[in-house]
Amino acid sequence: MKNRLKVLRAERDWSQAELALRLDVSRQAVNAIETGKHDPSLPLAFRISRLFAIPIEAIFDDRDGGQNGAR
Amino acid sequence: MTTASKLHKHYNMLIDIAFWSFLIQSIIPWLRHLGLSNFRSEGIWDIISFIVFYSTFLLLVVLVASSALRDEYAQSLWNKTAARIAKILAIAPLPLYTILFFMVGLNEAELSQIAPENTYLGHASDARLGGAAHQLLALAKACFMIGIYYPFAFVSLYKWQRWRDG
Repeated sequence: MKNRLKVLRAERDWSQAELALRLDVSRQAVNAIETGKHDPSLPLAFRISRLFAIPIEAIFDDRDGGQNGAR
Repeated sequence: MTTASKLHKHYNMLIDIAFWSFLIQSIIPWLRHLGLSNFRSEGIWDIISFIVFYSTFLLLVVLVASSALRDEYAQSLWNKTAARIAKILAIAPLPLYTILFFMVGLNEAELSQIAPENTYLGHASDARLGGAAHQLLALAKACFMIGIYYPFAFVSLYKWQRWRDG
């Protein structure tokens, strides 16, 4: 699934480790989400949405039909 | 930082430590057997290597079994690994049996030539047990070996999945 996590993180000048800390996940998890290797769960997607204070659909775009999280 | 994120942060590091520690300790007997290493464990080193080996083994078991240590990405990697292991277990027996069929064709002396020095190959008293007791003993040995190497195999596959994602 495509997402704007890297852009949003860069706008705030956060490192992956810093974002991971704020989301209570590992840095590897942030990296996997940013690169589209892992689709976050709904609770994590909501945490990301709340952290950046924007709707989920403004961060994630499921129109490429990606389902990495389930594979 | 919460306790959960501390554990998540250290999970992959612990995976790496356990993997390399177990791999090195498994390789040393083979290197010694092939004459590529002069390291010999004697006295206190015997005790230390025993403690390190079983500590590593226990760490591997905890890392595989404990879901509390994983965040959702690590859990998704774990799920992929479990799925692959399930496939391998379904497919592997046929080639494995074929290999074993040819290996039992070798006599004990030939086996001792290719196995590391501390590999237990059985002895004459096993044969005297006969019948069910002998089969039970063989089954126990197989379970022991699988029990020792399964967590390592799981972690190796997990590391490979992580490397592929990286």
